[in-house]
Amino acid sequence: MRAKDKQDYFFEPLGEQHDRAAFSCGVEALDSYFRGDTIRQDVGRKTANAFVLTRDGKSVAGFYTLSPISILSVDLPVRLAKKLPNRPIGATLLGRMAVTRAYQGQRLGELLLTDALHKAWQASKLVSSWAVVADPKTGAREFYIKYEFIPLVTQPNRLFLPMKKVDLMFG
Amino acid sequence: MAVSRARMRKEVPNTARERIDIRLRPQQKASIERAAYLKGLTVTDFIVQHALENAQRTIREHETWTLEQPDAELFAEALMNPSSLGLRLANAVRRHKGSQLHR
Repeated sequence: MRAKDKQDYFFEPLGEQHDRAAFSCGVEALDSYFRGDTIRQDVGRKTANAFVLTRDGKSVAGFYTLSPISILSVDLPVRLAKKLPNRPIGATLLGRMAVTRAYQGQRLGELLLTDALHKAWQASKLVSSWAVVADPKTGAREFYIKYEFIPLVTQPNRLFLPMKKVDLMFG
Repeated sequence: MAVSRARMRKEVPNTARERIDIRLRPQQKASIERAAYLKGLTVTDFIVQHALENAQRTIREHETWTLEQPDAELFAEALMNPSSLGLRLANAVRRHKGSQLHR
């Protein structure tokens, strides 16, 4: 697909008009999350915001979720502890992200990620967020590393991207 | 306000119940029954109480990441002094801006 064709796509918050039942990315946990009630409950209770990528406002090419998360650093060396608050700091969790099978292989993952980072960056101007973090469960770790997320050493499936770096993208 | 809330509670008592069917080994069940007996709880109360505590802890841990060394230092250092933007992200953002989605 040429870049020009991507102009047809747009993002919008997940709503009742979207055809969730047809979504299938091939990862069972993500499919059942998106097709079932869990995502609606998350959005309804405002524990997460979900955004879908669509061309017609109905069929879903991909989706991602964002939610606030706290990160507590313990035993920091003094030189760093002086610069960070001595309590959990706010970050933005890119909770789930997936592209449906029919649309895979078209760099839509990159589009989803970039849009998620853009929204996280906009939100960080209002409510402090120090990083965008991800906790991919299935094989997606390499994807995040490709896009410069840094994996934790002791929890290798958890990765983060400093918000200062996202500033460099959109600032 | 307090009165109306109390009345609301009375009108809509939270008596909804759901079931979970669990299959487990006889020894596992016997252990749970014995532990519940020792605590003076019914088996249901014992299981619900413990599963719920565990669930709440899991959710808490999911909503707060606790970083110890070396991750605490790795994280703090990267936040203070992030590396410069690589080609991947730079290209991604260029394409994103070109796609009219950047609004």
